[in-house]
Amino acid sequence: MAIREVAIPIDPRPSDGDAEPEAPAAARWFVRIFLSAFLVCSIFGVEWWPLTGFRLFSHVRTAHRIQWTLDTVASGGVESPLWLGDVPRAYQGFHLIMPGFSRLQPAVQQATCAAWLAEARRVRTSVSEIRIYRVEWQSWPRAGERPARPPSKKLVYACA
Amino acid sequence: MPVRRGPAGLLRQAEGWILEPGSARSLAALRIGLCLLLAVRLSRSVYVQLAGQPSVLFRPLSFMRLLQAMPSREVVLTIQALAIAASLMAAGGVAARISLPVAWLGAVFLNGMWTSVGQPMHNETLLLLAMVPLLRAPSTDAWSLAAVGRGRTSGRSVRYGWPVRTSMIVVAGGYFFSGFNKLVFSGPAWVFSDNLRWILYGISDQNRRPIAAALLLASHPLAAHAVAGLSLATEIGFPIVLWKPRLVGIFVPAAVLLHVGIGITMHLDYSAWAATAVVLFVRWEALADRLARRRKAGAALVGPGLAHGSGLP
Repeated sequence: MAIREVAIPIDPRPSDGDAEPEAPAAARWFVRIFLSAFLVCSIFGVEWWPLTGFRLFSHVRTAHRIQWTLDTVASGGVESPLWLGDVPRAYQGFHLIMPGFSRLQPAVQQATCAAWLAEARRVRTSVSEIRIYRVEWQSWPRAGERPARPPSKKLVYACA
Repeated sequence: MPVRRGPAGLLRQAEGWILEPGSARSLAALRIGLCLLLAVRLSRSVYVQLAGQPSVLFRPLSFMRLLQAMPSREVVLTIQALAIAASLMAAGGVAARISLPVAWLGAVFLNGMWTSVGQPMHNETLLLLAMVPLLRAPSTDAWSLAAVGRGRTSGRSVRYGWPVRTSMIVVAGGYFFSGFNKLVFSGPAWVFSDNLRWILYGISDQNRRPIAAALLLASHPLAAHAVAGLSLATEIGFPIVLWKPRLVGIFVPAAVLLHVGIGITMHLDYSAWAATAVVLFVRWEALADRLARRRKAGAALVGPGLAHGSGLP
């Protein structure tokens, strides 16, 4: 007598080679909404952070550039630049705030400068004043590691 | 199968690809990798440095506009500790339905602080966006303490496929749009002008100490053009890995190299982008299988030898 083997399903849950045919509707809509928002922000530069427009170094730079620098003045009158790397992250938005600084209310300008002065005094002792400059650089030609031409500096604001 | 034409057909095709079945272990690898990466990134001091910032310097974006100022040091430390603990729990697959969202929300809040100094912060964006699909995914059905407790590992399912592929699209898209925007706003000049040289000189000049690597590259125009071209090609071309998975071996190392280069020449930390791409595109499941086979083969060689006393004199 011939014996025939019969396959009996034991575990109906999905396993290798036995995948569910359809995705849950909720997952489908989740993917649609999330990817749509991602695409809209990426294409149109919308900043619904953490969704973002991914504009990283997207504009062409030239040899000429404008920067903002902050110098501290010691009680003896000696002036020296305050490097952003010397202050905590909370104060490193200096160069991002400065382009719009002139449009701020005078009281806000004063308060902003006072906040930077307080931090400068925490980093360096005997700071009597800070001076904010608009600096124009020319990256080329070079003299060794720095630009050959000295930058032109224009004092924009000072607070003591 | 009927051929669907037009944008609607393409969208259906894309959705069909996203919703193909995937393995529980691939999804678990994504959970473990991204959560561990998040725990490491959240352990840095940058968030405490932002705490207690004078409110006049606060420049919030997005949801951070709901706040009047940066939170206090105590609040930041509490959220940081909670988010790190939640990330580690989620990596282990412990209460992931709660720990994963807690970790993600904590990270979004802390990095939202970083994005509130005047411009959108991109360093952690890709990691945070790649984690979004995990928030709704059954990511603990394999390689988790929960799965060990159940005593079985699930295989393949549509439920495991879409989160991995959605994250892949986001990461590939992040690279693509970074390159795309360079072309939109600068065109070919991004590569063929001296753009990269001026970027490098500018960043070096802003530093207290000149950056030797930046100056070296900037002083060799041909090399600077080549690096600019390769960087743009890596970004724009990255989505090809979605169609041609074999090219992962080219694009992922290229992306890692790109971020290493940015770190060395510009002192900017985009390592979270590189690590996210590695976590997402390396086939951890295949690696684990290969390791298991090697271990089994080793045991087969060593086991009987020892058992029969023939391996040792």
